[in-house]
Amino acid sequence: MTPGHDAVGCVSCHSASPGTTRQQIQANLAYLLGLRKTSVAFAFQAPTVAICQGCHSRPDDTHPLHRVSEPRFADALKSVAANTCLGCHQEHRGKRVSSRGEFCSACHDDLSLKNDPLDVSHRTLVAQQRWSTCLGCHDYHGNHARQVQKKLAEAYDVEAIRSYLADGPDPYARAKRHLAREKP
Amino acid sequence: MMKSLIAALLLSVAAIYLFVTAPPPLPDESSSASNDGPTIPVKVLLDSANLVNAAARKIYTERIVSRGHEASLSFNEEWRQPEVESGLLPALFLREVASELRKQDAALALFLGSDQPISSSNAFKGEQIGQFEALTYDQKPRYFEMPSLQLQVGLYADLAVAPGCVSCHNEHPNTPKRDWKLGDVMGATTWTYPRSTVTDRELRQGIAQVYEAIARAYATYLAKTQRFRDAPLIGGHWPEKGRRQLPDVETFVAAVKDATAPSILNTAVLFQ
Repeated sequence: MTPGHDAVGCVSCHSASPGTTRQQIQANLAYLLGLRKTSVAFAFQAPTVAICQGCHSRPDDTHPLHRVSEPRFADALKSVAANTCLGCHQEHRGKRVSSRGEFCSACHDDLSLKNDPLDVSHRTLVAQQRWSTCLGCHDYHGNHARQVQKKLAEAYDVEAIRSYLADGPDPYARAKRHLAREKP
Repeated sequence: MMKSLIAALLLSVAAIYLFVTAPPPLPDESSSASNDGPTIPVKVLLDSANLVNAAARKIYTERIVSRGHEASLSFNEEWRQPEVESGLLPALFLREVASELRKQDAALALFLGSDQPISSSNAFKGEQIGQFEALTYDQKPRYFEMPSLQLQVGLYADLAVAPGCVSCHNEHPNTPKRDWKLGDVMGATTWTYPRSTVTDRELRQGIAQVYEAIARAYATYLAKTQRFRDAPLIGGHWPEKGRRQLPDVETFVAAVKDATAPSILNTAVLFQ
């Protein structure tokens, strides 16, 4: 399970697929033969974004899903499917983040700040392709109650971040802005 | 020979099991829309959604932000920070509406972008660049399809409608352009929808979801103001010089409906 999901039951995320097994086989055969446009899940359906957000929606998410659903991010989505929760958080893998953690380049490769608050400019970091440093200062969803560092030397160590994205300790801050709801 | 016979027999049994004696097939979700009455080009829904949102944004900009300044209310891009006693800037109000659409699980989606954005993450890319360039010449909407995303797209000009739009963008420390003037095309509002046609029910539902998203976005602003040390009075009145007051959600939405009713009637009901 993803860290934090140990107490979550199967039916909290998976709803039964419509119809009987016979109807599901029938529908999927028809789909394979081109006689219908959509396939049908066997037994249980995969969780939807709405199910994840039942517990995890936040008013101030710094990377809300709908932002990257915009046409301008069509190419970026080929690198990381950040328009769905499961694009980065696949369940049953024992990790917080299942995608590679250095995907910021997919959208921010032209980042340039005139009024840059960091002591080493973001433009320099982008030019040097130091994408492993991004999460050292910025937590992706912005749910940690903390101030972003203004000196690159104070960024969290790359290995500490990688460990956290797996199942290690949280380097950012103990306090969260919003706790996940126990029920949708 | 015997193997072929057995295989043919098994296939026949499977075909009878799955198609002849089987229960009724499951409905195909993608065909539900076409079974729900005559279809309408998605352009009608995109145009309707945009005119409602544009009216709400104009009212918010002119009657809340501009008048609010005269009533000592402030608006700031850091408005969400707990210690900041400010409301949403108009562009962020639009983003809040977009977020509220998503929360309703609406098929419609809304975005704001520009070729000269304050934040580079709002810069147009790919197909949008050429479409936006064409739009800046005649300010007419552009409609196109993005097959890779399976989306129908409508692009609508965003004009500098209030002095605040111009001054804020010209003076922002990260602005790439400092000579904006009133009436300029500052960017474009993008609407997307996953199908090229909608049913009458989907059209009405989509428009209703935009009104609802606007109401919820405005309610978010009101909730924020009630955490100010000097919270403005909320009721039936709009802010004006020396009067620190704000219309309630019903009054705000009623103004949006008043401003859009004739256009919605023409666009989504009479198809003119």
